[in-house]
Amino acid sequence: MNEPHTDSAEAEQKPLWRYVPLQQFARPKPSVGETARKGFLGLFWRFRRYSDPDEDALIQGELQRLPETLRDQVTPAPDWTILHTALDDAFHKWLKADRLKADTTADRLSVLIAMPGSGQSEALSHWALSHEVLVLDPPAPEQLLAGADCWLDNLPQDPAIPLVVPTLDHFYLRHIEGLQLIRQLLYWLANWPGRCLLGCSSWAWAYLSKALRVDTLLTNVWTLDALDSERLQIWFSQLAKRHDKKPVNFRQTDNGFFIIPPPSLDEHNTDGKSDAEIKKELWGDWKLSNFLIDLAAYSRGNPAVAWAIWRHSLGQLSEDETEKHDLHDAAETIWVKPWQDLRLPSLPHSAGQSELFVLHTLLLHDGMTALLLSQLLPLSPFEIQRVLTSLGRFGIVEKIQERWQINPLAYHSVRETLDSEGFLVDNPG
Amino acid sequence: MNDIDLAKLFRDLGQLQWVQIAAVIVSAWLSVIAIDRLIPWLSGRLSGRFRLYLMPSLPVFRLFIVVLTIGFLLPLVIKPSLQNFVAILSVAGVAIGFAFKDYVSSVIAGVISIYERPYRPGDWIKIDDAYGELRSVSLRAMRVLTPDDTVVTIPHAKIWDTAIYNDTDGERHLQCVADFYLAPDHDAKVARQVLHDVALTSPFLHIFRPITVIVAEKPRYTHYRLKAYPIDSRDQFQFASDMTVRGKAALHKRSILSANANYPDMLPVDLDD
Repeated sequence: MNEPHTDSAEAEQKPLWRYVPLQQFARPKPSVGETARKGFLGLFWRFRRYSDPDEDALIQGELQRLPETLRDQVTPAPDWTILHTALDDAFHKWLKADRLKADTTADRLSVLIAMPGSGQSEALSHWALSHEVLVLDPPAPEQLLAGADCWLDNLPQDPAIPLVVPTLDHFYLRHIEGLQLIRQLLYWLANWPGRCLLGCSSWAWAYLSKALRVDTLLTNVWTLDALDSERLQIWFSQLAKRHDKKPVNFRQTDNGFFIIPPPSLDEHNTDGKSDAEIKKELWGDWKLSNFLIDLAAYSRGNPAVAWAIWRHSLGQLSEDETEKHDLHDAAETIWVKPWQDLRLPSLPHSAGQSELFVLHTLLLHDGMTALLLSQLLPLSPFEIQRVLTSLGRFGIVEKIQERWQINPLAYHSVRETLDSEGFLVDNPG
Repeated sequence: MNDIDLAKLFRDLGQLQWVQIAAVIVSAWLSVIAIDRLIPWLSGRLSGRFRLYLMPSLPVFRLFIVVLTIGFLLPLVIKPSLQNFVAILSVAGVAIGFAFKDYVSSVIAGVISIYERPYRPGDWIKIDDAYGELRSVSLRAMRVLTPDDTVVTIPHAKIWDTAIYNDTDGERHLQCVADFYLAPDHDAKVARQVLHDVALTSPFLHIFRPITVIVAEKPRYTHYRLKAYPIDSRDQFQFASDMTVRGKAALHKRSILSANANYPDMLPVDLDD
């Protein structure tokens, strides 16, 4: 475990959200302990008989479920407009630069790759609106399947106004009729003298890079920097701040280590003591857990996955247990399961080819309806429904407004399985 | 060697240590059973590279147990002297040479195949008329499962004098071909692009391998061969079927007709290419 420390100066200086060129993306690494545990456990699981799928059902163990109100207070749903500043830092000058100086395709066209669920399309749309930039929305999937020829007639004519395409991944379908429009759009963009910023999911980018070689046409590729443990620490403590309420401590159930350094308690500073002295007085020689290091590595730096697992890992002790612990009432304590005890949904052993096809298609298109899935896959609507229902029961997929998508809690498991089965996977991610 | 000499090689029945002999045979039998279960079990849990080495070594382990068992049994049943050992081995050699010539040939071929690796479990191979997935390799023979769900047992000795066609050669991928015979009056450029996209959008496709569309003009039709690789070689027939079904639909949508649809009285006669 790490030595106790307060928010380091380095962490303070590091911007929480930052876009970096794709080549600079570095996936967070797990802690040494987790690497060793996975090594031994991996060997154990490899030689162990496969578990009954019911064993993989979500359980919370001895921790009691956190009340929804408190859970929503300390882990509110991310507001992705927080990416506004990062987008400004990375692209504002570029977008507003003199278009005449942009004489190559790489100068004029930039791509933003985002891992699933990381809110990029919302952020890009919001950012584009605030900068008087034209937003190009995708056609409906039905239009794509019908050819969408007339859609191209509405493309903008004035190259002085920059363009933003928040969801390039919605301009194609992995269907015989689904590649025509994106080919035409990219051809048009390559010859259009104006600037354009394209947002694309990492999975769609991987497919388009292989299928259409778009990575050789669009070479100015950026992505959101991975959320490492330091950034997660800052982000989660920002999310947990509540107005007019006691600050929150997040502590690990097995050893009491702090997941996030204890908050500053200015109201206790009545006799000129330093923050460190106050914390020592209240919590002794507190230590920091490796939980966030392992969470950052497991979630591959994906904020949506990290947030979902973080939210899932929180709990509270029973009243009897709370009385046993001499907890200082200066802050409210929320307990976090040790990393190795977390039970996250994973693909059941019975999952076969149909399940893998459905999951891969959902990732390539950032989710879709069951009806559209049946048009893209060589499976009957009944089979699609059976697969989705089965995967939903195990918490692998979830249905949000008729669209099925991968549950962020199961993302790691799904990606690992697809990778090991030889399917195309995203990079970064 | 005459009969009297041969009889003198063996111990008297009364001197034989039956319990030890039985123990050796039972141990060998149990070891073979254990190896037969352990190696496939281990292989199922190891990554592809190790599995490729471990599964074919099963016959070697069996052979090792057999040799070891004979080594233990010989001193128990014959009088232990150098002359006796040489004599019994000579007799065994002659007997094997005549009676088990083909069997031993297959066993030796099996051992050699482990090192030359003309085939490995999981490969899609063709030997004579048998084509299918190599499911298991035993001491004497291999078992191939054909697409018609028939198991063909082929002795390893085939490697001495028969060409062995291996579609996968230790990898997961093999090329699949879907044939299309189209009426000649069409835009071949469009047809070629459509068929390319048919493969490109198949969920079975291993996208890291190339997709090829070969076009050949024949007197009565245009022959398209769409070649691509599935993610898993076991899906080769499903993949070819998927490409065929979707290819037919996509071509039909663009009014590109199949040869017999356009010329019902002029069915292609040389479709064997």
